[in-house]
Amino acid sequence: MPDRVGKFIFAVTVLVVVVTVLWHVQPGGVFGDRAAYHRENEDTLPYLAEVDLAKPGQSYSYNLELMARVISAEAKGEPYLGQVAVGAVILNRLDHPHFPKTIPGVIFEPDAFTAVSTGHVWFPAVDSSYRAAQDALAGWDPSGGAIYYYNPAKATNWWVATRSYIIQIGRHVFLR
Amino acid sequence: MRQRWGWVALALAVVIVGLIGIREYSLRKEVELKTENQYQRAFQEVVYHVDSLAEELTKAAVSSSYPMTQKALADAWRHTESARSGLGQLPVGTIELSTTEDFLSQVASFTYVLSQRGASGSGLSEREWTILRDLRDQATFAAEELTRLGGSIALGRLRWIDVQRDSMATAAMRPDEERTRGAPSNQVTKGLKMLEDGMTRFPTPDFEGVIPPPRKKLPSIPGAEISTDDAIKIAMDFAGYSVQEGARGEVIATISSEPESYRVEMTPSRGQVSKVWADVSVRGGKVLWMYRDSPIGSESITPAMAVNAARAFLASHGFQNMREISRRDYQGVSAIGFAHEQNGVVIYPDYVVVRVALDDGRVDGFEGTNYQIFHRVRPLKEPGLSEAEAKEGLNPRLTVIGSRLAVILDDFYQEKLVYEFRCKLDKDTYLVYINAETGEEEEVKKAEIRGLELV
Repeated sequence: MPDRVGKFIFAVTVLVVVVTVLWHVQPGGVFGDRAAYHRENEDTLPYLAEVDLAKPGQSYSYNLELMARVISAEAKGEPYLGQVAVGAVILNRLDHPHFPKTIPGVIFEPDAFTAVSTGHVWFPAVDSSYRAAQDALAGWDPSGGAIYYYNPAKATNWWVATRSYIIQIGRHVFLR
Repeated sequence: MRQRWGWVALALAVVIVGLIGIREYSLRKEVELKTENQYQRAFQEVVYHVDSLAEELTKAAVSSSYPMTQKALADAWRHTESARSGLGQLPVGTIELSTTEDFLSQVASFTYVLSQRGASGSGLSEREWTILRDLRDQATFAAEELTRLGGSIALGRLRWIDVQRDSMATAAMRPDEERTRGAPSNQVTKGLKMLEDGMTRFPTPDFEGVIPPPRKKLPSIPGAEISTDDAIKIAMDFAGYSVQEGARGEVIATISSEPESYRVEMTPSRGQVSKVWADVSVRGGKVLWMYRDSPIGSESITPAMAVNAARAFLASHGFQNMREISRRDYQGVSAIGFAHEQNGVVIYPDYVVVRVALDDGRVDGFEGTNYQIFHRVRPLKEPGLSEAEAKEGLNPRLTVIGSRLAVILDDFYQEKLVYEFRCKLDKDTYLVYINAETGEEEEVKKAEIRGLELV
């Protein structure tokens, strides 16, 4: 009996050591993008722009990529209209005096988007979110001019809840 | 013997895990410190720029020569924009600062407009000077509050990281919790609240006509209120569906934004999953936009065919005299912009966007909010200048390749009659707008911005 306990502890230890060593030696290999994200976080965006986007220095494709990633991370699985609406909220903020005047400025405002706070914005976007971003840029605004949205099923942001309600699309409530 | 090895291994594991823990902890501290330092820097920049803003506004109000005033205003504008950018980097998302933000945005427009008047500009009018003084008082107050807060942050070793944590905790609260317990606060949030409360006590100067309004005040669509049944019928007709063929429609929401509208969701036929949506204005029953969520196959039609499809769609939906003005191609679709044309004058405020799927040329999207709001038959005056006279206002280095009359909206949302000159410089094409009354250059646009081509 004690013999088996010893074996078990030994096996667990070996496992822990192997996993730890792999984690530290090869972060990207074992834990994928999430670990890589922590590494890249320090250099933040310029790094992403060089590595992931085909042509650095072209702010158009860069902004589009950024919008698509936020839409993808925030509204994947939502009705398509809800994805366009998230893109429209980003653009509506650009015209609003309380928000920064560039797309990266709006998106990277501290705690403005959950996708940025949790790092999900660093994952590649799904295809439909590129079209949603483009549709928002072309002028469609299914949010009815919203500048906030939240998911009432998850934690409620009371501050956002003091804003006036416009419409619910899928799981997101859009507000002004 | 085996058992003893087990214990050794266990001890080893505990030590390794412990070391990893220490390492992770110190890494976390390091990252936290970096973030904190960035916040501190951003905040100190806000303090510095607001302080300098107050100083420049004072200079502008005091100086007697217009060039000096103008320089001070230009500097004030720069400081305002920097302060706004710094504010955008701080974790203040859940702290109510809207009066302060409005103030900064108003000062930015005010100083910008006045500093751009050019050498020909006269001095400030009496009314502008009074506004300037009021803004100076408000900026001085803000600078004092921020400086005091900056001092207590340094002395009290307050951290922005804690502000961020409180803000996250607040964000996670439910409204009832917030009422009973109150949002968490610390010295920094209290200081910012004092600033905001103080700012609300200043009266807002009357900027009417001095600076452009921050947002477009949209005229309402004329007409009687329609019922939800009317809205469904209008939307179904617009999208080309009929109840007889098995299509269904329902109003899923009433949207209270400007203009107020019904959202109609349509299912084209039984058993089909893809939906079609449209917003129909409550007053006047106009279709603001329509959208079909259908899968798009591989491209098989030419751009010219797409334009023709869009044109045919507009003609059959009661949009007469539309001229193609822009084009955006993406993801197997073409979003083509059209503006209304009245007696050969392009009316830019009356524009629509038609989205054509490039697989079979069907129209699967329409956006016409602007057209529905602004469109009317305009009493167009004869231009005060002839085309040749207006052309003299152009930079002589440009080669003119085309021209036409157009109506554009200026920053104050006033319509202006202009000559639009299509010009070439090197290999790029530009659109230059010259006022048809005064001959002033109103706007210069590049004809191909990435992703969008102006036609």
